[in-house]
Amino acid sequence: MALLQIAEPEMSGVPHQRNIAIGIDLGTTNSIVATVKSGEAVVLSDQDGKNLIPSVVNYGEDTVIVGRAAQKLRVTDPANTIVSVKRFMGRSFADLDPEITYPYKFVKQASHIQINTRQGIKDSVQVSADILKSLKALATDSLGEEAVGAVITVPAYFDDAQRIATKHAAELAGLNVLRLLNEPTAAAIAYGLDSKQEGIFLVYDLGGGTFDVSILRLNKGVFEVLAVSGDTHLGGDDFDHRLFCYILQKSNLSQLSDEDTALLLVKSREVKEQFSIKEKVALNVVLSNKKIVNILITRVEFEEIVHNLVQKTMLPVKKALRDAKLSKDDISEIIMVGGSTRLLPIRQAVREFFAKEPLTSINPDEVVAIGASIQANVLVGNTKDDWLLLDVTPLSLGVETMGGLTEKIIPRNSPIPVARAQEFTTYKDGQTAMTIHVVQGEREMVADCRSLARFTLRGIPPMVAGQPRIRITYQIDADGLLTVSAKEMSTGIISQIEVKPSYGLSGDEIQSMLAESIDNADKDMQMRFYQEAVVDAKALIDSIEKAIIQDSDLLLDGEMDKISHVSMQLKVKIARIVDDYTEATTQIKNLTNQLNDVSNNFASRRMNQAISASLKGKNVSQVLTENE
Amino acid sequence: MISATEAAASRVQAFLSKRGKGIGLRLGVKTTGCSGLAYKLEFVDSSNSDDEMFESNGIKIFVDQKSLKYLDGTVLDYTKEGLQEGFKFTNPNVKDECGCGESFTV
Amino acid sequence: MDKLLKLNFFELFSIEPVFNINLEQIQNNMRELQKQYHPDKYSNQAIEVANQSLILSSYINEAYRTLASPLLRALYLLKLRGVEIDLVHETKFSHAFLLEQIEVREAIDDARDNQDFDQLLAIENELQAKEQKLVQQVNELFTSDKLELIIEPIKQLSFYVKLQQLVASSIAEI
Repeated sequence: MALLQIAEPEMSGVPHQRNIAIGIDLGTTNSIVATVKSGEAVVLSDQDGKNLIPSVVNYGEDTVIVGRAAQKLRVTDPANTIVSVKRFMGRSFADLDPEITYPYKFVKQASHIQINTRQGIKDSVQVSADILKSLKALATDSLGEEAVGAVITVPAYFDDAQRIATKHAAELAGLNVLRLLNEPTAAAIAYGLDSKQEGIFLVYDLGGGTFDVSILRLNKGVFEVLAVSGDTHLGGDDFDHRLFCYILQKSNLSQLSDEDTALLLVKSREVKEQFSIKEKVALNVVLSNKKIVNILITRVEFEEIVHNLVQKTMLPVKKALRDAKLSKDDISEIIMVGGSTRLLPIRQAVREFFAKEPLTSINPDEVVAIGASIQANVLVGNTKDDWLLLDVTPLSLGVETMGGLTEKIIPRNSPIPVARAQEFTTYKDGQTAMTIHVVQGEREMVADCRSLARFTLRGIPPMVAGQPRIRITYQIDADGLLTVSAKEMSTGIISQIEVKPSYGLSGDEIQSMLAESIDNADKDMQMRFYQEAVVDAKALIDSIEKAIIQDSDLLLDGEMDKISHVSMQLKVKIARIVDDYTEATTQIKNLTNQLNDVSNNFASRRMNQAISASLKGKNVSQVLTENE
Repeated sequence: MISATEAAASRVQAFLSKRGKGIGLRLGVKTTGCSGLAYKLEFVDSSNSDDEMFESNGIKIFVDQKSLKYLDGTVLDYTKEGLQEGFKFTNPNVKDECGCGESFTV
Repeated sequence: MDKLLKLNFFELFSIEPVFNINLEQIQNNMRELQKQYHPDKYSNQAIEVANQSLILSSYINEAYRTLASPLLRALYLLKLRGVEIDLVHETKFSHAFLLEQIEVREAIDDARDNQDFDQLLAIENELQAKEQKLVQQVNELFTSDKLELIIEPIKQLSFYVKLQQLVASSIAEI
C-alpha cells in the first residue's frame, strides 16, 4: 500500500495519479535520484541506505549489475565493467584520449563509441540507460509507484551531441524526460528557492574532471541564467595528480609499475581529502618492489602544490562575470557544488576573491539532484509556486561558410528557447543543391569546432550565382536541443529540410536501437496498462451497481438509462478478445471516464444525503461531543 | 476527534517549518467515481469557516464538516514500509479499502 | 498565442516605438511575458500548444535581444519606418576610421595570442566607451528626426559591435 505525502493546499490529485516526479543527477562517478515529498526535496536511498549510486555497469553472462555491486567487479571483470561512461556520451572513438588506456574492447570502425561486452555491443547510450533504469527502479521501490516524469541534469558545457545522447539514454530507460537541466543551474535552484532570497548567485562547480561557473539572477520569481563559463579539463583529478607527482619527487621515485601508479594515485586522493580536516598527513605505503614510501606532508606544502590549480579556476569566474556584465561585488551568494569544493584552499580562494563566505549548507554531492527534483515537481504541476527558469545555451552554434570558416548564428550565452535565421546564397551559376554544415564551438575555423550535422538542401531552382536566397533557421528548445531547417526563399518555392543532429548515429541506427528495446519492454508495458485499465473499470461498474441497489430513489429521470448504457458498453469492451492492447486500453479508459461523468452527480447526492441524515437535528458542537 | 501519532506530528512540524509557512494540516475526503472516497492530505495556509480544528501532539489538524463524518476517530501515523516512507490513516469508519490505501468505502 | 507573433517588438513589450527606451522596463516586461508563455508553463499540454509556446517564447527572447542592443534597436526602428540599411556593402569610411579598425583588430589578436585576459577587458572597455558616444549621437538624431544623417553613425556603430564580438570570442577561446 502506498503511503501518503502532504500536498499543497487544493493541490491533491486523483488517487493513483499523484504526479510523482524525480530529479536525477547522472554523474561521471556517482548518480543520485531525488524527489519532493510533502514539500521537501529529499534524496532517495537504496536498500543499504546509501544515497550515492556508483555509475558503474557490469554485463555478466545473463545479468546487468549496476552500482556498488558492479564496482566490486571492476577488478575481476574489467572488460565487462563500464565506469565513467559519461565521458563517452556523444563522443566518437576518435575523440578518445590516446594517452589513456581503457580495459574495454572498443569497436574501432564505429562512428560513435561502442564497447564489445559479454552481452554483445553496447554503446554509451545503452550503458547510461542501464544506470538510469536502475535509478528508476530505486525510485519506484522507494516511492511505491512509478514517477510520471524526470528531470535529468547535464554539465553546463555539454554540447548538443552529448545532450541528445543523454536524452536518448533516459528515453531508452523508459523515463519521461521533462527537461534536461544544467547542473549548476540545478544547484542554484536548490539554494535559491530554499532561502527564497532574491539576488545574483554565482555557482562554482568543481567536479572530478570538469569545472563549471554559472551566474544566475533570481528576480520576481524568474530564475535567469546570465552567463555560463568553465574549463572542461580542470577538476579534482588534477589535484590528485599534482599531489602524486609531489610524492614521487619527495620520495625520489621514478619508473613505477602500473599497479604502483594506481595505488599511489588512490593514496594521493586520500591524502588530499584528509587535508580538509588535518594539518599534517602521514603517508605510509609499501610498493610492489618492497620499497617503502614514508613521508609527512603539511597543509602548507599541499596548498603550495595546488596553488596554481586553485588560481586557474578564477579565470572562468572572471570570464563569467564579464559575460554577465557584472563585477564581483554584484554577487550576493556563491554556491559551492561538487565534492572537490570541500578542499580548504578552494574555499579560501573563493572567500578571498569575493570577500564573502561561500554557501556550503547543502551537501555538495547532493545539491544538483535536489535542484533537479524541485524543477521536476514544478514541471508536473505539483506546486502553485509561480517561478520560472530561463536558461542559456553554453556554446555558440554556427554554420560553415566558404573557406572553412564558421559563421555564428546563435552566440553562446543566448537565452533559450531561441530561433534565429540567416540568409545565404549560391556561389556557382545554376547551382541546385547546397550542403549545410552545422557546427558548435567558439573557434573561427570549422576544423576547430565540433561538427553536429551535415545535410544537403536540394531543389534550388537554377539561377545566377548569388541570386537564390536560402534561409537557414536554428531553433534551440528549452532543453538546449537544436533543430535546423533550410528554405529557398527567392522564388517562393519552398524546399525545406529539418535536421536533428545526432550523437554520431545515423537515423536508422537510432530507430533500430529504439525499436529493439521497445519491442521487449513495450509489450509488457502495454499488457500491464491494459490490465490496470480493466481492473479500474470493473471496480467502478461494481460500485455503481451496488449504489443503485441501495439508493435507487436518488436517481433522476433518465439518469439510470445513461448510466446503464455506458456501463453496458464498457462491459462489452472488457469481454472482447484484444489484439491491439494500446487501442483497447484507450477505449476502456475513455468509457471508464464517461461512466464516471454520468454517475458523478448521483454520487454527490448520495454523499450529501449520508451527511444530512447523520447531522439531522443536531448542531455541530453536539456532533463533536458525541464523538469525543 | 482526529489525532496524530507523535511520529506523524513531528514530521508534519518538520515539513511545515521547512516550507516556511502554513498553520497546520488538512485531512479530508473527496468522492471519486461512484461510491469511492479518497483521502486528501494538504498543508493549510488559512482555515475555512466550516473547518473543525483538532490539536494533537502539538499540531493543528483541520477537517471540513463533510469529511469529518467519514474520518471521525481517524489516527494519522507516519511509518516506514520497506523503502517507502509516508503518512498512513487508521480510520475506524472504513469498511473496504482499495489495495493502494488511497481510496476506500464506508 | 498566434496573435502575439503578429505584433512588432515594441508592441509586444507594450512600449512606444522610440530609440530612447528604459532598459529596466523591457527587462521586467520580458520576464512577465516569459512567465506566461515559456514552454515550461505548457509542459503538460498537447504538442501543438507546446510548440506554439516554443515559437512565442523564442520570439520574446528575440524581441528582448533586439530592443536591448542599441545597434539592433536602431536598425529595427528604421526598418519599421521603411528604411533598410545594408551594413555589408557600400562601406565608405574615412582613411583614419579604417586604420583604427585595423589597429584594434591587431591589438585583439595580440592579446588573444598572449592569453592576456586583462588586456582584452581593457580593449573592450575602450570599445564600449566609443560605442556609447555613437549611441548618444544616434539618439539625438532620432529625437530630432534627422534620419538622413543617421546612417553613417549606425554603420560605425556596427563596426564597434563587431569588434566587441571579436573580443568576446577571443575571451572565450583563452
